[in-house]
Amino acid sequence: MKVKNLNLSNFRLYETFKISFNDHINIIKGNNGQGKTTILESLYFLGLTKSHKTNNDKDVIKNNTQYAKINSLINFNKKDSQLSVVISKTGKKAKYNQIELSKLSEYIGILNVVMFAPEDIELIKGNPQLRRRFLDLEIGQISKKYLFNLQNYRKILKERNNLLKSMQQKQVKDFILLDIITDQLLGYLDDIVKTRKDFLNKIAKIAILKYQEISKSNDQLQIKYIPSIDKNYKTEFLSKYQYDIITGSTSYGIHKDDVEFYLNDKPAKAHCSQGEIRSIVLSIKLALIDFIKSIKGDFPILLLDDVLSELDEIRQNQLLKNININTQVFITTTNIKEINLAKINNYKIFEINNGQIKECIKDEPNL
Amino acid sequence: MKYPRALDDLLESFRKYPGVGKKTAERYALHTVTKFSEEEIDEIIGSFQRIKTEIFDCPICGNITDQNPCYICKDDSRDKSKIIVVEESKDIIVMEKMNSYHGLYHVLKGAISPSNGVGPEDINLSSLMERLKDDKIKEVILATNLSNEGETTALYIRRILEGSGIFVTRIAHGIPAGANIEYADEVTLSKALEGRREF
Ligand SMILES: [Zn+2]
Repeated sequence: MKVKNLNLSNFRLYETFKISFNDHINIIKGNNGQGKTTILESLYFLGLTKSHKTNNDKDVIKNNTQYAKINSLINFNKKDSQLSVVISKTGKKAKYNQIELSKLSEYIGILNVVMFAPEDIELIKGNPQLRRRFLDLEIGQISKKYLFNLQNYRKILKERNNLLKSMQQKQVKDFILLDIITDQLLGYLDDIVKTRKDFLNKIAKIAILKYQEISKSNDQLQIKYIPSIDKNYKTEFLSKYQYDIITGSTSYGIHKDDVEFYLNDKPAKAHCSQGEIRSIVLSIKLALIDFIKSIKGDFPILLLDDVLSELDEIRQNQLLKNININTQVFITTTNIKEINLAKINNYKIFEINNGQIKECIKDEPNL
Repeated sequence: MKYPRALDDLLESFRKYPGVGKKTAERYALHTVTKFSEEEIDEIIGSFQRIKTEIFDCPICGNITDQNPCYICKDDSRDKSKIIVVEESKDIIVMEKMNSYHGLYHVLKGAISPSNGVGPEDINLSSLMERLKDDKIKEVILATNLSNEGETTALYIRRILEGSGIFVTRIAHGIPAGANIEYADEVTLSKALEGRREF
């Protein structure tokens, strides 16, 4: 997959913005606060209809304007397609070759995106919610069935919790309805748990090898899925009926799942150095690229937000070596000297200054 | 520009219709004021008033009607052994267009959804139970929507009819008639597979 060009209107600081990209490596340099990350954020949004920075879509709309728009020509399966996403105060809409798609789930996954940003170390160190978000976003971009199940699971969970709260006040409680809504929830839950398990198994198998390459070691990376429940669903749920009514919420389910990471059998969260954690995340991202390629038949675009300079030379070279020549990459950096350009061929460098972008001529001595 | 009060009120009334936004409501209201004759306006007022006085829910099936009971419940030639259960009166109109079903109907006037504050006691369910005490009824066909709420409602009715001896069926969902399998999305296809029948 290749993003040939990108047009933004009213996206964060950009009133209008236009750029044509290189097919392989694109390096965007500039000082902090000039709008480098925003370009990657818009590419992420273009593929996944979400920001990696915020859960509130409206944040990307430029101040004092009504809507933000991302427009782009992409190439996939040797065909050019037009993608566009419009984010307004009331919601977002996506178009594929000028046709508005009635469901975002039909759109997500046309352009696959893998991003690696500094805040991604939170995937290991942060709260479980971030790991569930990771699962949903990444599986969502390769499986419409998963998105469908997830959407319905959330709707029914809301129904169930509302029912539990309304049961608190009732003398005669309708356990038939609770039972039915629980069964409906379990119908989706079972499928989601299996898909999450299968996805993590596959990612773990690739990531262990990637980790050894990046760290040039024999270290064993393990990724473990910790489902809140994965068998005897109905019995477990039944045993919590009374408790759920008291709390007005659902004790078990995929909204309580977690993922654990181990390096040589030790929990990564507690035992790994900053550098090791960065390598774990990087291995997972590289594994994702291979995994998406195996399913979609083409490489996702790779967004590296200010992370290259944080890797030591060995890790940086291992990363660059791991990037297939057919992958389109977007790299942001404040200091171009920290990127080992000798290891890359086919790149373009852009400089960004106060929202204005220009392509740099490679022979410029002060690059 | 600010509209006169009465025009503004009319505009707001039009906005109560589904799918009518501010612009459309404005057009309707202005059209009413500038293009309709006094007779036409009286005619419209008359139709609205007649709806209030002449239209009511059929006490048997819940369908909207101007006679008691409604024309379907009254029709002795209909097959009284089958009832199709739907969410809204408008679903009956669609079903009747098929011209291939000749049984009875029951309108629930909604679907169970705790998040919208609608429980089993808030829909037209007790009158269905009352009707089912009649031995003549052999089959209940659940034709609530294939949404989560419609499914909850169907499952609920199935559960309370367990052991009643009544044959309970649910409308199938899957690939639209005349459609090509290769164009069906994966979700529709897997639903169609789940609902497959002996052939
Ligand atoms: Zn009737």
